[in-house]
Amino acid sequence: MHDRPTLHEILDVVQGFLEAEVVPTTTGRTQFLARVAANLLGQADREIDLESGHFEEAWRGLEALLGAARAPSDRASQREAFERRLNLLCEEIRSGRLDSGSAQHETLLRVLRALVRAKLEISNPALLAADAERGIC
Amino acid sequence: MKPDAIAAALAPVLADACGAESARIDGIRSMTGGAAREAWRLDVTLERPSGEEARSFVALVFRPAGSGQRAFEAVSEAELLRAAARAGVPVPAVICAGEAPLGRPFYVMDRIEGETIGRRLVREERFAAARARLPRQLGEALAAIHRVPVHDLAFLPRPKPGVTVAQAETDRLEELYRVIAVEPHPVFELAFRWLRANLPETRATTLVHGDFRIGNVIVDEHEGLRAVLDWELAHAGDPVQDLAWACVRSWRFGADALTFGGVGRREELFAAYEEAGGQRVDPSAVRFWEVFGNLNWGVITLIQVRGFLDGAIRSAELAAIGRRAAETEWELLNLIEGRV
Repeated sequence: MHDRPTLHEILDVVQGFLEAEVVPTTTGRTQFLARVAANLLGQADREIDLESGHFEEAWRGLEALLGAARAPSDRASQREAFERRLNLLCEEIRSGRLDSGSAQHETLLRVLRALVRAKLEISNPALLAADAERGIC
Repeated sequence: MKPDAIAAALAPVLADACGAESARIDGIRSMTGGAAREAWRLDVTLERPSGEEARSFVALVFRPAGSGQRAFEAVSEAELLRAAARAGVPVPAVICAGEAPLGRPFYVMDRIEGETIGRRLVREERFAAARARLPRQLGEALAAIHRVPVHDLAFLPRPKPGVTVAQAETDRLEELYRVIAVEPHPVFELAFRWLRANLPETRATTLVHGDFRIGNVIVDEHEGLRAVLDWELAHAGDPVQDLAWACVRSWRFGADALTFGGVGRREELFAAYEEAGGQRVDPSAVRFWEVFGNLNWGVITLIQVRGFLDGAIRSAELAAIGRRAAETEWELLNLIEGRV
């Protein structure tokens, strides 16, 4: 519906500007903040691609621990519904029902690892890559 | 405070403390301080009948007393640094401390040359020789810190009688988390369960620095460790807390395989600590305090991002910190599952 540049292209060109032109020509605090800003744009860029796949995977993971539930189809309600389910999982963990030794503990660890891996694929893929080299994934 | 006002107020105090006739402030400039205080670099010429002496100092100027941001006052922190120096901890020498001349609590110490920025210390080739020396030097410094008599330092926060240090610290952190967290973090919930199932029984207490890590020490590229800084979180507690905090992943600045601060291995730090007279390091206590440390840093990221989320501070830096919680969640899972 909108003319190009696409959202990807916009984020990419602004990130490139910060990295290629602002970072090398500034110092100190401004340079540091330019790096931070470029990194945040990179996160936004990755999130656009990965968000819907991440949501589906995470929703299924929570179903394994909390039982089946219908996922909303629009983005805004997904975020809300996911937070409600996550709060429910937090309550389950606090209650001790998922503690080490319980039937579901291994499933809990697997699901939590997948949830956090998804977050890091957006926020810090380099950390995941470094750990994969050490056999941690 | 305005730099000129600080310089004018401190000049006579510095002259007096250094036994000079007078002191001329040649330069004053702001350094990175922190939320609770300002740090100023002061270049000074001390004038004596025998001649002039150029000196460089750091003045830490605290927010007004009673602003609720700190556990103890500037004069107490100065007293703590003096006690640490007597125990053999490398710290900047305290020149003077007080409140009246500035109308704000402050203390002044010698400025020590060197690098503090963790990312540089861990990555840059020019610090390779220093990195090789740091595990031993920091192990020795920590053993000395834990020898400082806490009995004389009545202002230090300490656990209530009848509660173990680990229990008290876990309670404090969980209360903070419940108040601060906006979004659910199931890994943090799991970590609290794990901590409560693995509490060490330590009751004997020593001085704990509270923020002992790469990033809070001054390092010279040839000599290695010059001074231990940032004492505002000092308290009486379990010494293993300091050993484990120094190994928390965020303080490896990307050199993740080097489990002690990105400069060495945990085992090197612990061996140096034991050889320097520190008590035997119990691996299960280290595991507890390392989980605690990573969780503590995770909760701090939630505190910092609140400033942005609440709309109080429009800062890209704070916004970015919100997404660093996931790094601590990842490391917590690795620790709890015994993968690292």
